[in-house]
Amino acid sequence: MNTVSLPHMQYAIHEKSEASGHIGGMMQIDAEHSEIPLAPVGEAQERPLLQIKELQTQFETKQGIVKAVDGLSLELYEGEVVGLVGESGCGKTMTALSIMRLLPENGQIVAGEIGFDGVNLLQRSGEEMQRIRGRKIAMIFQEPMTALTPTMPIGRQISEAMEIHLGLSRQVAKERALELLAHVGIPSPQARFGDYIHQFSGGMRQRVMIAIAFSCQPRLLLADEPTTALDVTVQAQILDLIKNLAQEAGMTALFITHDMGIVAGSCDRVAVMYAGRLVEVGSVDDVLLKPLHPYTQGLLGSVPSLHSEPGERLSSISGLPPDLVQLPPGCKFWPRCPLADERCKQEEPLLEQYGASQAACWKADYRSDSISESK
Amino acid sequence: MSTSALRSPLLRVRGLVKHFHLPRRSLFHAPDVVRAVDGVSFDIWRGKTLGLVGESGCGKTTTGRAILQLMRPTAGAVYFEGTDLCQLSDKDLRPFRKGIQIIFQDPYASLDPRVTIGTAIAEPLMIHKICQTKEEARERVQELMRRVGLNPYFINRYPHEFSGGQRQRIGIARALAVDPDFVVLDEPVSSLDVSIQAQILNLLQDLQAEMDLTYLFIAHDLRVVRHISDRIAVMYLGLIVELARGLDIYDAPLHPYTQALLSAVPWTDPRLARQHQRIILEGEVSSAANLPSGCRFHPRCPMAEDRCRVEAPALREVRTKHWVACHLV
Repeated sequence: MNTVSLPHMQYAIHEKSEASGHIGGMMQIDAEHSEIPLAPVGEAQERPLLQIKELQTQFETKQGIVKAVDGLSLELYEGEVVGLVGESGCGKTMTALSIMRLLPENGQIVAGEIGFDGVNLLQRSGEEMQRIRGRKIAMIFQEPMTALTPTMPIGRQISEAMEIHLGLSRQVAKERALELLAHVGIPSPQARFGDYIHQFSGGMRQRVMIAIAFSCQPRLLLADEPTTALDVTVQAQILDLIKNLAQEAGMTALFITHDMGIVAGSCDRVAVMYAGRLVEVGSVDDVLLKPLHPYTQGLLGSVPSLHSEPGERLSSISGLPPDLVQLPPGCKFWPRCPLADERCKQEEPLLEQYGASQAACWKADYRSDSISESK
Repeated sequence: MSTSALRSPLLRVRGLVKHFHLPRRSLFHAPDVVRAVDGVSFDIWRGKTLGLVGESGCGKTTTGRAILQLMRPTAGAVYFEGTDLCQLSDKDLRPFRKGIQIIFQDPYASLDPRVTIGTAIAEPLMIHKICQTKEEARERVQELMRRVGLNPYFINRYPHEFSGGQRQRIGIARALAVDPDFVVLDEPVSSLDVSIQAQILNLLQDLQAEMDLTYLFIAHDLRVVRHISDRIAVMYLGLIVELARGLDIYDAPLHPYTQALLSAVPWTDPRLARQHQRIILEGEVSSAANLPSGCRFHPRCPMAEDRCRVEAPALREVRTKHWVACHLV
């Protein structure tokens, strides 16, 4: 496949399969379709639906090798919504693109395993991945304007995915696409079916993308900053929409965001990412109310809360995010950490259990003690 | 600070209007008018911060630019220390420009990529003849850089060599170089990462206290606005719908739009997120080129009555120092 800019790929793939032997492709997919059970609802907490093990994704740049994701392990259980939080460049988007196997050309998964529903995605062929993308794992991108095709009516973009993945006839796919448009809150879907993406407002564009993502009832949804570009009131509408649709379908979701507020309102569990690795994982209540890692504490302290006195100083994190080409030895956060000592500068801490959460910090032990004492 | 400065506001905006004309659709059709700002009035006292919030397209940025006369307003008055800036010619305006500055959202777009940051920060010093010689300017630039948390060693570097947060510090240094009284901050932290956002907000607060600055803080993030503002004005489609002390607005919002806006704020406390009853507004903001009749908010208002569809509500003081434009309050 020719490399186009990233987010287009999913749809570029559809176009290609239409051009090159559509019928053959559809027959294959038909066979595939019959063996896919629909997402079971309510069967929680057994085997994780998604199991990422020691994932390493690297990029070759002029400056050197960038370790965008460096030994990340994370599990998503059936039906849960997990937030992946971090600042720009921490590798959260690259984690999602690694799962989708949609990395840019200079990026490569060099080690690890991505288990999805019992199979390792990293061992699937490109063709097999095409059938998984959109059908079993769907992704919502931050910018619908760049993720959707500007030259194809939006109705067609939704129905095409269903024709390819579900083997529906053109007519049936169109009917379902109309239902979907109505379901995601697009007024007069019949009239808007033939419109192009530029004819929609920001919030409506995101609704179209959600309709596409949900069209084939995938089991896993990856949402990459789905509301960052939207206004506050529209953001609330879209978050509620995704949450309700996912709940209806019993879908598992990974919410990628930089905003702890979105995590607080939309997720069950949260994983905090810094410099390509996870530094804290736990339930939303544990992590947001009793953060163990100094980075998590700094992130939470950086956002003004409803309880803070106006005008009081925010407990910001000093310094700048690290240069991923030249990471410091030891804990990657130590140059910005108020608690760092000699050990932090030399030995890298791994994720360990402290109370109900996991944290990668030599000082977490002390902090979890002090938290239980203060209780 | 003198007592007279306390009594009269530093900035008084009265009936500010800024309309834009769209190109004619046909010869027989009157050109469409976008009423971006449609009669906005407020005061800002010296050393205080007024937060101006609203969703995209509500006219908050245009208000900021019209106050600075970067865009000449269609109508209205902007009194800066008693002088109406709207009545001044470009030439007469020049001495006032020193006192009123702006910090933009995207510091990269507002810096010339081919000019070193030292030169960029020194430029206003030379234009306003604050520094007579280059050496003097250089010294002052280094002092400013230290003040905003930049290493003066980087004085000869170019904007692309800095991160987003550092560039915003450059933008701040440049705006403050001329020792202004009043600064318009147009989404100064929206493009920054959370941890950097907090650094810049702290810096802006420190500078305000030190230099006795007066801020108009334009933003869409209501968490940030609550944190930094003394008073807050909520804009909707070119008009202020509610204006009050920050805490009054957050504790007891009166306008249905403010209520919906505040209920949508993603606070980081999960307990708050759960118990919070969100008011989900229907639809999206109408276009300022095709305004609804009556109250501009009525098509989305959950409480709209017949009267709201016909008659536009005026901004009234319904409680002490709490102004609202709504028939139902």
